[in-house]
Amino acid sequence: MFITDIRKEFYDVVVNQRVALLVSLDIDALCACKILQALFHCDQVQYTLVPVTGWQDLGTAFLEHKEQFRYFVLINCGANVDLLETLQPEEDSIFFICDTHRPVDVVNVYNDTQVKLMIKQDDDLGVPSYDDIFRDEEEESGDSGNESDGDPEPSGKRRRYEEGAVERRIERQRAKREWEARRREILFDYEQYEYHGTSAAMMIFELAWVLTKDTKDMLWWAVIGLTDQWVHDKITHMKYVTDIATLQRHVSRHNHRNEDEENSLSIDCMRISFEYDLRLALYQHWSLYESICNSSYSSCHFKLWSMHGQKKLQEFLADMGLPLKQVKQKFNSMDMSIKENLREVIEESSNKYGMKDIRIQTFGVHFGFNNRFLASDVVHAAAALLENTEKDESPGDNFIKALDCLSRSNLERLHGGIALAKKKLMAIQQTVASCICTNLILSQGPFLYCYLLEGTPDVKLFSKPMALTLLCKYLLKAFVCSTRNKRCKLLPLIMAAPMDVEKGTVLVLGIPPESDTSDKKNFFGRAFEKAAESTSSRTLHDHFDTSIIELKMEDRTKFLDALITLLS
Amino acid sequence: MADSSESFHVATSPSRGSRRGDLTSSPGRDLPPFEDESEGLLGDGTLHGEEDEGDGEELIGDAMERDYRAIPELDRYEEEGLDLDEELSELSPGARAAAEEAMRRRDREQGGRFGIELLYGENSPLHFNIPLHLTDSEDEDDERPARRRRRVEHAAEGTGAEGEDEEMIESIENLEDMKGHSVREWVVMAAPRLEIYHRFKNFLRTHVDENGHNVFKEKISDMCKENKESLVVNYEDLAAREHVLAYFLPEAPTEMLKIFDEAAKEVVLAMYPKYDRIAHEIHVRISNLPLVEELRSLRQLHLNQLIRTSGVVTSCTGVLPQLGMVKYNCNKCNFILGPFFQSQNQEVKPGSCPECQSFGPFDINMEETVYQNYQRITIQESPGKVAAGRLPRSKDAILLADLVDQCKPGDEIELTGIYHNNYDGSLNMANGFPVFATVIMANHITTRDDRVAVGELTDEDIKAIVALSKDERIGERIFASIGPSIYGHEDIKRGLALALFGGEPKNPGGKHKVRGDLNVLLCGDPGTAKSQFLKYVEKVASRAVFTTGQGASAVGLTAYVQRHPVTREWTLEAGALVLADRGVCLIDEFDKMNDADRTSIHEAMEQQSISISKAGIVTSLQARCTVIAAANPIGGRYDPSLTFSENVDLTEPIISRFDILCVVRDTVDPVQDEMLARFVVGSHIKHHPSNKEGGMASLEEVVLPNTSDVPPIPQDLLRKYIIYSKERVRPKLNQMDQDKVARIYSDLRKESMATGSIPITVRHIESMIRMAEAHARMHLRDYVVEDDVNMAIRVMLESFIDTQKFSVMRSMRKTFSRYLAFRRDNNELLLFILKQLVAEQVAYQRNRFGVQQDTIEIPEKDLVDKARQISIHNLSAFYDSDAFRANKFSHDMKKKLILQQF
Repeated sequence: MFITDIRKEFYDVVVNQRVALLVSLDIDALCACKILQALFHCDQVQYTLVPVTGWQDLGTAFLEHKEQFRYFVLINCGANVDLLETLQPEEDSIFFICDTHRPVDVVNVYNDTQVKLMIKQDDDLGVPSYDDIFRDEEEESGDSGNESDGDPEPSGKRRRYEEGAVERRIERQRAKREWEARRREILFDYEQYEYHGTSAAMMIFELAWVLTKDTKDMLWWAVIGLTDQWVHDKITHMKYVTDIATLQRHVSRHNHRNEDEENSLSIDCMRISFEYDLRLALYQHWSLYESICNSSYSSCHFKLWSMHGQKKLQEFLADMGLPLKQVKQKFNSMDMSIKENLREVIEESSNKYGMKDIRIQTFGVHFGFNNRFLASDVVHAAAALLENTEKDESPGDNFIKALDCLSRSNLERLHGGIALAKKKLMAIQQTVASCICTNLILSQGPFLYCYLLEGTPDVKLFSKPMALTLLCKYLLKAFVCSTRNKRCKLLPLIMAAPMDVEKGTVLVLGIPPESDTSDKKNFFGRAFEKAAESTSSRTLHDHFDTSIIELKMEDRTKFLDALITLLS
Repeated sequence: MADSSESFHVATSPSRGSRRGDLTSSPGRDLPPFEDESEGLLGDGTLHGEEDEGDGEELIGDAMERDYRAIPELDRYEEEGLDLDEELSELSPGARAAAEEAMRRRDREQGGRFGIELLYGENSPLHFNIPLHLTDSEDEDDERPARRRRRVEHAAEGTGAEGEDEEMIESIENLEDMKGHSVREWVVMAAPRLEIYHRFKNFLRTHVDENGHNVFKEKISDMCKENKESLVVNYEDLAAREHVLAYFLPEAPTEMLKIFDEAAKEVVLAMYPKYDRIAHEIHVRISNLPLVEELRSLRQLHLNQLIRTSGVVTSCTGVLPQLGMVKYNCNKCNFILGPFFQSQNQEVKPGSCPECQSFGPFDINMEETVYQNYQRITIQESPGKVAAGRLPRSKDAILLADLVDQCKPGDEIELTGIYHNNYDGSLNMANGFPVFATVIMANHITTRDDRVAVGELTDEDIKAIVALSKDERIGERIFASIGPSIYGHEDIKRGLALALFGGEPKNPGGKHKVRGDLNVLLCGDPGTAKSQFLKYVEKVASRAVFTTGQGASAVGLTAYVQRHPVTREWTLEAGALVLADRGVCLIDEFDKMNDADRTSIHEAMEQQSISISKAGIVTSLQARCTVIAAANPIGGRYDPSLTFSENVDLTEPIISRFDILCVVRDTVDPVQDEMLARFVVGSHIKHHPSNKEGGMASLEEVVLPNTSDVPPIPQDLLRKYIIYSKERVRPKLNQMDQDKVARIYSDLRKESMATGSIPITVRHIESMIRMAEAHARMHLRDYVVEDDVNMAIRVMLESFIDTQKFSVMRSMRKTFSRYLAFRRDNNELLLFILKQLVAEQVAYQRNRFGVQQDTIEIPEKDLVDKARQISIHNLSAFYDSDAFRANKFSHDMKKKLILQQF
C-alpha cells in the first residue's frame, strides 16, 4: 500500500526500532541511503546497511537478517516483483520500499499489512483498479453453494431448477473467463513497459524536509540522485525539468536563509547554486578539448570518430576564437579571458553547428577555495568508483568507497573517482568509435544488435551493468547519427558483452529506440523472460532492472533467434 | 575696364584679348614686340585718377559707373576665331545634359584624371548644376569599374553604404601608370596602396579554380582549424587574375607583402571574427614564382626583389626572439617609452625620456615588447646541380614568425624570399667599404620530400587500407609487392616485408626494454640484386637512412660532437642511426666496414640506444631503428661447403643480432636463368623512357611469371598501409603457442650444437615472437594466431638452414620438413622435388656421359614416392598446373615419364 504521511507511517514507526537497510547498487540509491543515514544519526536509530546487487543477493540478505529485524527498508529494489512471494517473510516483517522502478507490482500495491510503498500516488503510476484484477472469494463460494443447493430438490422441479442452475453456471463461467481474459490483458499492458519514477533520494529528502531536519548536505545528495537519473537516461527531459524546479525551490530556500545575515558565509561553508551549464562531462576537471571529444552529446553531433568530424570540431573551435593550445590545457589553467564568457560563447557557436541543447539546467556546489563540482561530475565519479574493476574488490567494498566519496570530507576519494570516470569515458568513446568504424552493429530485423568481442580493449569495464548501459546509449545515439538507413534509426538496441570469462557468461541488455520525445519505456524485460522460457536458455534475471540479464555464451544464438521471432 | 586692365600690366598683345586665358604659356613666335603700354587703349589723355600714385585708384566710389559705360570699339568680338557661319540653336537642358554625359564618358575613358567627379566628388557644388536624379540614373549603367567593384565588395561584406574615407582618396583604375614614380614609391602612396588592398581582397574572396570551388575559402578554413598564421597564394593564379599586382610584387616585395598581409587579415576576420584571439597576424606566402634562380647567379639586379632558389640546408641556428615593437623603461622615473618600431637594419635608440628629460640608461621592458621568432639558416647549392668542377656556394637566409623550424639541416628545400643587403661593420674591414653582405628574407619554404605522415591519411585511404586487409591473401600480396621489379628471391622479399612491419616493443616493468624491430642481413654472391633491395626499401619506408660500409665511420653512424659555428660550444649532432630513429637504417657493404666501426653498431642494434661520453657530454640517445644490411662473402662467392661464419667476415656477436639471415646464391639452373633473362630483357624494353605508354599494366605482365598469380599492391598504397599498421595495430601474443615455440627451440639448439654452425641463442626465440607479431600486424590483426607463428618458424628455419654447410643442410631439411612445408603450395613443393630430381639426373648424366643432353627424363614413380613422403598423394593437379608447364616439364602418360626440354 502507498504511504500517505511519510512521517507518521514510516519514520515514527521505525525511529525506536532496529532497521535493516537493503540498498541497491546505483547512485540514486546511494544518495537516498546517505540522507537516511544522516537522519538516523540525528535520532540515534540503530540500523544495518547491506548493499545488494540483485534478487539473489536480496534473498540471502533477507534470510540472514530476518531473525533479528522486523523492519526492512529497501531502497531502489523490490517494487517491481511480488515481494512476499519472493522472500516468503514472516507475518510480522514489514517492508518499506522506496523504489524508482516502475511498474509497481500489483500485489505490492494492494497488500495492506506488510508492504508499504514510499511512493507518491500521483507519480504517473497507472495502477489498474482493484476490482479489475482481484476477485473476492465470496462470489465463487456462492457459485458452488448454488450448485450444492440445487441437488436435494425433487426431480421435476429439480430439472427445471437444474437447467436454470446449469445456465447460470455456464453464464458465470463465461463471465469468469471473460474477466480473466480482461485481467490478463490489463496486467499485460500494465507490466509490459518498464520505466523509472521519481528519484528515491528526492523522496527521502522530502521526509527530511517534513521533519525539518534537512541540511544543505542532504539537499546536495538529493540533487545528485536526480542527476544520476538524468545522466543514465532513466527519466524524460520533462520530468527532469520539473524535478529540477522542485529542487530549485529548496535550494533558494536554503540560500535565502543565509543571505539574511550581515556577513556572508565563510568560504568553507557549502553553497549550492543553480547553474545553466554546459552538457560536457567533467569539463571543469579535464581539458575542454577532451571533454568535448568524450561527451556523448558533442561527440555524436560532430561525429568525432571520423577525420571529417575532427576537422569540424577544429573549425568550431576556430569559430569561437579559442586557440587549440589553450583548449587542450587543463581547464583550470586556461586563460581567464577565455573562461569568462565561455558558456555563452559556446552556446552561440553551437547553435550554428546544430547542437541546440548544449546547456542544461543543473546545480553546482562550491566549498573551500578550490572545490567546485557540478552534480554530473559527482555522479560520474561515484559511478566509476561503484563499478571499479581495477582492483578486484567485492561489490560491497566498492559500495562503501562510493558512499564515502559523496561526503564532503573525502575529497581525495572524489578526485580518485573523477580520474576513474575519465578513463571510463575515454574507453566508452574508443569502443563506440571502433564499433561504428568496423560496423559491429547489425540490424536483426526488429532490433539492432552488437556484441563486444573478448579481445576488445577495456572490455572488463563493460562487465558492469551501469557502464554497459552508458555504452549502449552512447552507441545507439552515435549509430543514429551516422547511419543513413531511415528505418534503422527507429530500432532499439540490444548489446552483449562478456561478463565472466571463466563461467562463460555474457551480460545482455536492451534499450528502447532513440528519439527526442521518447518516454524511456523499456519492453525488453518481458521479452527477455519469454525468450528465455521458450528456448530454455540458461539465464539469470538477477538484476533489479529487468532489461539486464546474464546469459551463458553458448545459448546466445538461440536466445537471439527466439527474440527475433518474438518481436517481429 | 580699361583702368583695371591697365593696372594689371598683363603681357599680352591687345589684339589677342583676354578670352584666350592667361594660363596658356606658349609664347607666340610671331607676336609683335612688346608695345609701349604707357599709352592706354583710349589714347594718351591722362586718365582719371592717375595723378598721384600714392592715392591709388578708387575702385568703388562716385565714378563707379564709369567702368560700365558702353565702349563700342571694345564691345564686340574680334573676327578671328568667331564662328559666325554655323547657326547653332540653343541646347535644351536635356540635350545639354546628354552632351555633358557624353563628354564625361569620354573623359573617363581617357584616363579620368580630369573628370570633375573625381576631383570633387559627386555632390560637390562644382558639379554642373544638373539635378541629382538625372546624373544618378545615367551613372547606373556605366559606373566606373572601380566603383562598381567597390560596391560589390561592400555588398559582399554586408555593409550598405560606401565608406566615407574612400571618397577622400582617389581610386585609380589604371595602376600600371605609375606617373613616373618607381614601383616602390608608387606602391607606398596612399591611393595606389588602397587600390592594391582592395584588389587583393577581392582576389582572395572571389578566386575560383577550374572546378568552381572557392580556393581561398577552403585554404583559410584549413588554416584556421589548425591555428596557423600563413596563407599560401599561388603566384600564377594571382598573375592570371590581377596582373598588375603580380607585376608589382617581385619589384617591391616588402611593401606589397605588407599590404597583402593586411588584406588577408581582414578577409580572415570576416570569416572567423574571433580569430584575432588565436593569431595576431596573417602572413601571405607566395608559392610557384615562375623564375627560379640558381644560388650562384644572384646578382646586384636581384637586390630587393622576390626571388626563388633551391638548395640544401646546412646549418640552422636556434630560435631566437627578435624585437618587433620595443618599449623601454626609463631608469630614473620609470616611465615607459615607446613603442618604437625596430627595423631590420638599424638599432633604434630612444633619445630622451619625455617625462624627466634624462638621457639616462634605458632598459628594455620585456613584458610589453612584442617579439617575433627569428632563425638563421645557411643554404647551400645542391651538390648534384653544381656545374662540373666547382664547389657549392652558400647563402644565409632568415626565417621569421611561423617559418621557424620548418626545415632541418640536410633537407632539400625551395626557398622564396626577398634578397636583401645588410650593413655589417666587420665587412668593411674584410672586403673594403662599401660592400655589403646579402641575406635572403624568407617568405615561403617547401621541402622536396614527399613523406607521408599518419596525420595526413585521409578517411578514404583508411577505408582502402582496411578493405585491403580483409583480403585473405593479403600476406602473399604484400610479399609480392616488395621489389616488384626484382625477379625471384621470395625469401628475401618475405624477410624484408616482415622487417618493414616490425614487431612490438615491450617494456616490462618500465625497467628494461625489449626491442620490437627485426634486423635483416642479406649475404650472397655478387649480382644478385642485394643493393637493389636496399634501394627499394629506402623508397618504401617512411624514414630511411642509407649508408655504405666504407663511407661511414663509427662516429658518423652513431653521434658526434661538433663545435657550433655561432655559439662556439660543443654540441651533439646525430649520426645515421640516430637520424633513423623509428625508421630503417640501410647499410650496404656491411663487411667492408672496419671492425672498430662495426662494434659501434652492436649497441644500437640490441639495446636500441647509443651512449656517448666524449667532450664532456655524457648522455644516451634513442636509436630504435631497423637495420637492414647487405654483405658479400669472402672470396666473392659463397662456398656452400663452409659454414656461414667462415664465409662471411663477421663475428658471432653481430651475426646473432640479426634476426633474419638470407643467403643468396647464384646457382646455375637453365630454366631459371632463361626466365630471368626473359624478365630482364622485357623489363628493359618496357621501361625505356620513350615507351611510357606501357605503364603499370605491362610491368605486371612481366612480373607474373615471377610470383604466384596474386595481384601486387600499388606502391604508395603499400607505403600508407605500412604507416597505418605501425601506428594503429598492436598485436598481442596469446597463450596458445608456447609449446610449439619451445619445442622448436630445443630441437634447433640440439641441431646447432651437433653441426657446429651458427649458434642458436635466446635471441632467436625473441626473433620468432617478433616475426609472428610482424605477420599479425601485416594482417591488421590485434592478436597473434597460429598461422603467424607457423610462418615465423618457417622463415627462421629457412634462414637458419641456409647458413649450414651443404652436407648438413639436407639432413636438416628432412628433420624440419614439417615446418618448412608450411604454407607452401603443394605445387610448389612438388616442383621443388621435381627440380631436385632433374638436378640429380643432370649431374649423373654429366658424370657418366660427359655431355649434357637436351631432354631429361624422369620416371614418374620416383616423383610419386617422394611426394608420398610428404603426404601428397594426388599429382594430377600438379601436372595440369601452370608452374609445371612454365618450367618446361611435360608429362607423358603412356611411358610414365616426365620430360623436361631445354
